[in-house]
Amino acid sequence: MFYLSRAILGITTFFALSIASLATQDKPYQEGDVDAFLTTARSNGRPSIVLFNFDEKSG
Amino acid sequence: MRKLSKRFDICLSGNKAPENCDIRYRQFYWLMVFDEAGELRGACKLGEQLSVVIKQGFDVPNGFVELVEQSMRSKSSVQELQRNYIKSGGSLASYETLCAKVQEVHGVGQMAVSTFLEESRSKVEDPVLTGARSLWMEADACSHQVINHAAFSRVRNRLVEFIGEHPKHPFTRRLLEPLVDSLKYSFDVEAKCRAYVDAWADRSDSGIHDELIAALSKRSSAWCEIALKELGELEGHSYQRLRLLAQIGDADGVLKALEATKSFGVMRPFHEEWRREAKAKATGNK
Repeated sequence: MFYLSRAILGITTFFALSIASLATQDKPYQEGDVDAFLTTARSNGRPSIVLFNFDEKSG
Repeated sequence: MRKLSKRFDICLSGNKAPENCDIRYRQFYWLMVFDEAGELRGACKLGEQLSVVIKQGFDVPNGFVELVEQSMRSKSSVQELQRNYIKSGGSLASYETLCAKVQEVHGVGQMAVSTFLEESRSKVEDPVLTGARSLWMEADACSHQVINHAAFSRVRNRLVEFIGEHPKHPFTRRLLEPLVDSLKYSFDVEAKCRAYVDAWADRSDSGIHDELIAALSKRSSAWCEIALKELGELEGHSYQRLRLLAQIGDADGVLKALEATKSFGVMRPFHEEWRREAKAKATGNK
């Protein structure tokens, strides 16, 4: 159980760092204002992904 | 992520969840996938599900893409199943499919589904049954989400009211279980149940509530017996001991234990309530 949670934490951290590194390049994502984001995506007929608990600071 | 952004709009939402997507454990990282119509197709705890796909041979970036694809392959969105529920007049099959979807998305938006059911009452064949399902859904969300005093209090009041109003509906008896469960952070469970029973008995003099009253009294007594037994096995001060003392309504025990306990976050409103009710009971007993 301990090793499993460490592994999950490791994977999540890696993922978070990858997002953080993207922030230094041009961003393929929007940050914050999730409801407006979803409204725009819907009106453009685009599927969308929301990552909750992620931001540029924490990754 | 860059490749994915060509097909999907992506948002890092920080600590704000999308509307109608109430989240059970806010301390985790969550992935939510919406289709072109903005309807929720899939949701998961990201770290946990990434571990699963990595075990299947994916690396982290491709594992993430796989999770998104899995969501998009899902047959229906939550909202589509809600529409089907109304279209079918609230059939059992459509309700079960909706429940299965709520499980599939790990309870994201479960409170919103409960609200949907409550608001659909006028559009289905058995409005009382749909109301009961709404309550069942809400109670289930409460017992799985982070402990929330206001949510427990709300569902408890709604359950008591509903049971009092619809004593003869076949689903009503099933609601006794979530009612007792919603009392797990309450002071003096037996006294609370007695108060509910008295209130139901006052509503009719035809004995229409008798069966429910007997069933609830039996459950609350059994609950307190278990709490007493567990208490006998616990030593020293602990949150568990304090909670059990509160459940059995041991006013002096609760007040003493609260003096030796530091309240934190989610438990603070419960401790305040227990202190207030224990003081009232202790004063009343003198």
